[in-house]
Amino acid sequence: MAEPPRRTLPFPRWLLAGALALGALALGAGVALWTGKLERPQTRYPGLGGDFTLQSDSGPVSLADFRGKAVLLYFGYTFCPDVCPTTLATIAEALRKLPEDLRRRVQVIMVSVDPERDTPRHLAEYVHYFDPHFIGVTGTPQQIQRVLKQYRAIAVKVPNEKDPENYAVDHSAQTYVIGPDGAVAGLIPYGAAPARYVEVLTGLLPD
Amino acid sequence: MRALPFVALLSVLLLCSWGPPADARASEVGIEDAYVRAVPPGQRVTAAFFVAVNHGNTPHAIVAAESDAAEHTELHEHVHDQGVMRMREVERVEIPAAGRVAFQPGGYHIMLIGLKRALKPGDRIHLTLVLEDGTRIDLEPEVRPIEPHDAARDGHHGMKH
Repeated sequence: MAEPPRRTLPFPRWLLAGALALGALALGAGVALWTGKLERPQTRYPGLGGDFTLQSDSGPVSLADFRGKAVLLYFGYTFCPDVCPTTLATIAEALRKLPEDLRRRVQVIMVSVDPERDTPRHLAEYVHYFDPHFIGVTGTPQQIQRVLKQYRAIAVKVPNEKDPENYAVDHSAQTYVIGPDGAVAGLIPYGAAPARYVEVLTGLLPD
Repeated sequence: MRALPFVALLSVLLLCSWGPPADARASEVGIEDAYVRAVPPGQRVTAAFFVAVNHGNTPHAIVAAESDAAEHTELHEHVHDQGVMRMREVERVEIPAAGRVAFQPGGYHIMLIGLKRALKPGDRIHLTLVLEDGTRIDLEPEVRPIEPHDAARDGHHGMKH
């Protein structure tokens, strides 16, 4: 019996092998490029945060002054009777739980969302009640608005018709964790316990 | 008279359901674990917290508060709305029949505005809560240090369960 005719390949084997190798290479390069792009940004929160300079009782304070340290940034106001004191007391408690060498590498900054009533002097008295190392800063309403925008935070004055001087300010209540490189490294929501702050700061600051 | 036991029973039932006078009802609402927050120096506002317990079968409401420690006293609530804390005055806080309502950090509080003196831990102030039916509950809450979150969330010192 005659052998059935051999099926001919559409193109030589070496060419097929070469095409396959090229394809694999391209796919690999594509994947590498794609994952590389995902890992490349400096922060997990692209476009969030950034430097600012505001006024404290002892002069101007810039976020850039604290490169190499972790910064806990909180937006609040001293007229706030409940949420702000609780959060600041929680952060103060967390810092007391940190080992001394770590604690010295953390700076807490409260940015006032109520520049009309919060003078640098009053802010200093207020934050030092919780921890003498805390810094309170304020500025013109425009400067504050710019920082709020950088951090996509909200602060809205709520007029009080009965008693115009005693208005409240609705405000974002999370704490921004800023890494030693100045980029936002995390957000801690309102209501978190001191242990959560300790965990985040310990993970952020290498020994 | 076969109806006599029935009439007697009805009378007993009527007597039992006879509502107590308004002043006696005051005891239906109990206030537990009332305290006021200490304030940083120069601070003009603070908050008072407690747990209101309704031991009765009728709902009640807290509609006002008065204090010797502040110029104004308001009922406030916090609403946590997508990361934003909104503090609002409320006209009344319902205490459901046989229910309890906690005035606690992040929720309801009595806001003391225009403090007349510095409040230090261990001090006491006068605080009167006014119920919807006119009942006044006089309290002498102690001033306590500001508590961090984990302690605040799990209930306060000496809270009765």
